[in-house]
Amino acid sequence: MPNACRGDVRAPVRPRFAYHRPATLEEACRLLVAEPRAAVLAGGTDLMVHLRQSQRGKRPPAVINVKRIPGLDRIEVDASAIRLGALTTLAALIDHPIIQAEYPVLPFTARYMGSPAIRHLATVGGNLCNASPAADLSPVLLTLDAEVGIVGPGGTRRLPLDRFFLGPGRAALAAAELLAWVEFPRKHAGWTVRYERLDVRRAMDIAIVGVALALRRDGTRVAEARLALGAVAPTPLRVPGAEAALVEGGLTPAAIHRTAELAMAAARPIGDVRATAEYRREMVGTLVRRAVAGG
Amino acid sequence: MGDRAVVDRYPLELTVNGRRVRREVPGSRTLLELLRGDLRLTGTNLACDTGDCGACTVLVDGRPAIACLILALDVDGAEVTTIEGLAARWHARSARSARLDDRPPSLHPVQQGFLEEGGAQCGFCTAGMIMAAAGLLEATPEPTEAEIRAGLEGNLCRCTGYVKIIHAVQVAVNRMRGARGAEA
Amino acid sequence: MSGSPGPPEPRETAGGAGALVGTTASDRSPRFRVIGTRVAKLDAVEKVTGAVQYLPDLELPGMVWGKILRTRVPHARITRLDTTRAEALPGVLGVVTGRNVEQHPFGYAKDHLALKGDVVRCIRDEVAAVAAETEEIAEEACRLIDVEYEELPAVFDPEAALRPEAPRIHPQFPGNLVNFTYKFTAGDVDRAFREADAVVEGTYRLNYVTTACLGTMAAIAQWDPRGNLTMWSMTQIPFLYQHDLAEALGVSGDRIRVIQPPVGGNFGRGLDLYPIDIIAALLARHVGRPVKIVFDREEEFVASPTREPCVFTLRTAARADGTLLARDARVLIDNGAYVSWGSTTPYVMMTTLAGFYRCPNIRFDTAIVYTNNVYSGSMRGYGNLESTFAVEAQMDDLAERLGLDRLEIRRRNANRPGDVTPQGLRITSCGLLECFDAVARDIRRPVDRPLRPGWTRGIGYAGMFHVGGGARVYRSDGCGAIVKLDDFGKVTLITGASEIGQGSETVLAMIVAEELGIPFGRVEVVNNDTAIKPWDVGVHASRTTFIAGNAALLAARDVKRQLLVLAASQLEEPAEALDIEDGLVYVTAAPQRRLPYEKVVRAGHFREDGRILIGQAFYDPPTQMLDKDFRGNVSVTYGFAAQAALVEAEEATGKVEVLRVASAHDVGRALNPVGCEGQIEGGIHMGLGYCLTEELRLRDGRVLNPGFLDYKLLTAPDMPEILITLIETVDEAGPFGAKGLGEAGTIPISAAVANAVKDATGVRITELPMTPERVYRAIRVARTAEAAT
Repeated sequence: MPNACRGDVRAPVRPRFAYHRPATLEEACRLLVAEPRAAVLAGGTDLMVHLRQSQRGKRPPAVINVKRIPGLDRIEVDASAIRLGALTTLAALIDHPIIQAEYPVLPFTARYMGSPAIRHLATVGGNLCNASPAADLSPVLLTLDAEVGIVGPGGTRRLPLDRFFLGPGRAALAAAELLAWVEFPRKHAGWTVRYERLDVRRAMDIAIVGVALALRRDGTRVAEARLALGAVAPTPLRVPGAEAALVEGGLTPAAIHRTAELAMAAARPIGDVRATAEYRREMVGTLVRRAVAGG
Repeated sequence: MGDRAVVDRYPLELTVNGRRVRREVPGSRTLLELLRGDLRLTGTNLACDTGDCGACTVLVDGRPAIACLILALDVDGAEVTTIEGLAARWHARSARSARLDDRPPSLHPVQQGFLEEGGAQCGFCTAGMIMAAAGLLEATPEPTEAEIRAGLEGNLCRCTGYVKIIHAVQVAVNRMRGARGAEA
Repeated sequence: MSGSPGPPEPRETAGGAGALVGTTASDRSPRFRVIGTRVAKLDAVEKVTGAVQYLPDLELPGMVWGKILRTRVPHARITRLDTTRAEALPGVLGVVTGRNVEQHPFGYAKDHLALKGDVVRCIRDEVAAVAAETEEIAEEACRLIDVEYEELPAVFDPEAALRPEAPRIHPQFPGNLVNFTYKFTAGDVDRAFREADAVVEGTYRLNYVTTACLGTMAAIAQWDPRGNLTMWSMTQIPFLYQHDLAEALGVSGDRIRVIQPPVGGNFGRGLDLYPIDIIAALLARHVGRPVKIVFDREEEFVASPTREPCVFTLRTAARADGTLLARDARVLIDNGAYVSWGSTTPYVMMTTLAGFYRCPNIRFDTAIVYTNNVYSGSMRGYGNLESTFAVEAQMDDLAERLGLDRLEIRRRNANRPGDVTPQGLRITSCGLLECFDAVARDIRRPVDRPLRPGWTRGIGYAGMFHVGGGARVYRSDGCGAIVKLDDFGKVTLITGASEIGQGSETVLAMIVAEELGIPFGRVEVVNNDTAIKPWDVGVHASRTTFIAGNAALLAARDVKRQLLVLAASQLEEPAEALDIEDGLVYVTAAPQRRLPYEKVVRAGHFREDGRILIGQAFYDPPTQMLDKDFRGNVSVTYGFAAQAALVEAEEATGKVEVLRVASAHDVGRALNPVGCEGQIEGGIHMGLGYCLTEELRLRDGRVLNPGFLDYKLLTAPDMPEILITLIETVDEAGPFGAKGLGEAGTIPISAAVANAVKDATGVRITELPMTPERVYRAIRVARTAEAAT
């Protein structure tokens, strides 16, 4: 069967786009309304690669740099919640003293991502909107009952984080909407929150499997549990059945075993150049057991 | 070509190695392309263009930055330092360092460390490696060995196994501590 | 020969990253002023300041950009090739294809044309190339070239390619078996196996890896109005390249000049002529402008040469006391679509199989098979990694079978000075035993990291044996050197040997400075232009310090003699009464009578019968190419090394971490200790990558991971502590006693780690890289089998 090729469509050609740097959220939304296929530039660590590798037809006609918009890069802490502005860099997240003191799992997890130079550029919001199935922060934030704030022409709306990821590379943002912040309740004193990751190199690597676990213990019982998996499904995945098993059974070997089995069953991993689906599924069990044993 | 109709030139003004630079560039021009192409500062190398190797690390407002991942327009108004400007930046910021040696100052302590410890073999990763290390030491003047490794984790080297690179940074740490002591 | 080593001189190190544990010198009496000191690389200042100009940084007046269009499918007939739209694009100067330029077959088997006009055979294949005013226009133009392919049945597995019904990659040949014979036998192998007390066997799968240099492949071609071509190239073999390129272009070799700018790594990548060079020249000739081609990173992963993937099947027989009796090996190599140097690596696989550790009965054979996969070149180690991996696995297996200590079985069979291997390789200096002693000692230093639950620890050993004084791969193994003095006191060494980032020019400058008795800083090296430098066969096989070093030494000696003759008249003493030290020519019996050597040279220029001082030498070692039975002494001397790895393995995930590598090397003499350490440390990085994380994944002939994200080089936090010992056996044939070293760090490390993983888990991993998944799976299979018994 003849294979007709109009040249080599894989060859990268410098993209061409209009460039905008709005000073306000309103201006940004107006631009997005006018150019629905525009790309939003935050840290750029994912977008810059996509721009160069994307197919001709999928190139955005405009890039909207939102970093000039004030107020989006703040970490706001009050008595009841911690709110990370969408433009919070991973470096800022790591360096924040209250985050370090109360949520050390977040700097711990962020240190897996990229390198120091990349972490000065990459933003929490950009990472969430990129919606990679293997993202590290996403499963951790899921276990913290995070919600996101989305702004658009119609105003601001809240969404639980577990409804934000629609599929690989697809976030629940309608046309002309921007992610403004992600927030979680500041209620985890006494909880144990852990992130376990399987990878091959100590740096610059993508998770083969990621497991986040948040536990509130009450003596030997588990009063509350949140378990989220990364890199083993099209989106980061809460596993309510596994969470219930921990709450019902406590930290007994039998309950831990059941939790791990339920997590493995819930996983929908693919095989790719990094690992086979079977190995990923088995490692879900291993990492869940490890996360629970450490907690 | 439909997208040739796109408005394609934007004004850009920034400081590179202490000099003000004014250009008009397409939206898509990266900082790396600006440095190597427009400004002919070829000391910063292009090795992957996808942010995976760190060879194009420069300093933006004193912090290590991956130049191939940054649009030139995104650093409008910023202060960019490349390997060619690193020594001058060091000497501008450490007024007394000139008096520590009787040699005329010409290198940043990390560069000097690389010279003394054999930190460069083929040298292709060297500019990015030195900039990443210099940026690390501005933020963390007394890193442990593990912190040095972590600070350089985004910079790949194929020649050295990183051993002499780490020694070079440690030598620089000692020298910079001495310089701070002399300034105190 | 090697005497007993003196006490090591520990060097104070700045940190735990790595340390030179010691240098054991058996011959302390000569006091060297330059040799053995720690010096900065000659080009270090340029590199740390960003002043160095790599090939992609170079611009010539009128230069244009070239881009290559590659095939979309691995095996196909090109049914339509239309460049009209590309040529019409403003800014395009011209397009070349296999149908509109003169080109001739090139490559080891002359089975390769730079531009494929008819059939494409692997995913690299170059179908067209565009020259344009900017890189962007050239890329755009490539997309406008209309190509239609009729896909042909393809084969991607060498065993499948050997079947009679397999599609033929090159129909002019009778089948897919490459017509190379690497068949060696010695003694009576079958009888030895019958009489052995223990026989072990195994099959080892070694997969594709690539040099992954930070600097991608590039070339600049420029023709002058007289039809002469200048190439700026990354070649490691400029004179052979001159000859091969001339043939490919249909011109005579004297029309080609090769300039070698600083390169961003090579590691064997530059050891053949590749399409990029020929295409740059074809484009430049076609459009009448200088053309620069630079690979982007994805292209680099797809199109630059790899290490050859192979399946190595080995059986080893031994006596009850561990003495080796026989080895029987068969290696299946995936040649890929065209023959390049990767398919000649059995030369070296064989020398280890037949010569590393004493083993009298040998059988070695290969099957090298064309497939539609990518083809392999020479990569650091050149077959020795694979061979050593198999040999050293079985040394451990034998030790286990026979209940012997793993170090003891190695010592028992170790090569010794005076040995002659079954191929006729003559071992002169040999510090293999000292190497094992050093690593056995250093690997057992205290470890301050506690063992984590679920992890087990193990230690593994492996040694290596490699050429150290040339390799006689080509008919000539020689190198020329010229040493010129000027009246400012500058000494210029013009050497045929190329600098590829490994520090060869630095050690050559040290040799010249030492021999002449002048300060190291006065020596400059010219080595990058075939119009100027004398002939050298090329940088490969760890030969440069030895061969180019001897040439430089002899040339320096020649010019020193001339200098002293000249000084004799000025100092009014016979030349034999004079010497030079620290740049001063002095009367040995009355050292206060002396002259700076620059003055002597100046006087030589400004006399009535003035003369210039130039020394020259061509050193081609007294060795033989292997004959048709693969016998011959190919090197003047041989390098030896041993490594030990301390690893931890986690059964639940298969993760392997290497905590420490002890690496001891018989280097003859460490002329440039910084350089020696650097080569070893970098070699260990490359070898550990081969062992643990690097694999160029191909499926149906396509590269799945052409980027640094998924082709995983080890990062700084991944590297173990490295403890190096340099053993100085002071080889009498080497310059100041030195032997070659460039590849040694890479060669045994995978074997040592595999043996350590076996020690830690009881499971032998036989396929590389040992990714966590592979190790996990192997352990699971073993545990299941154990449970069943």
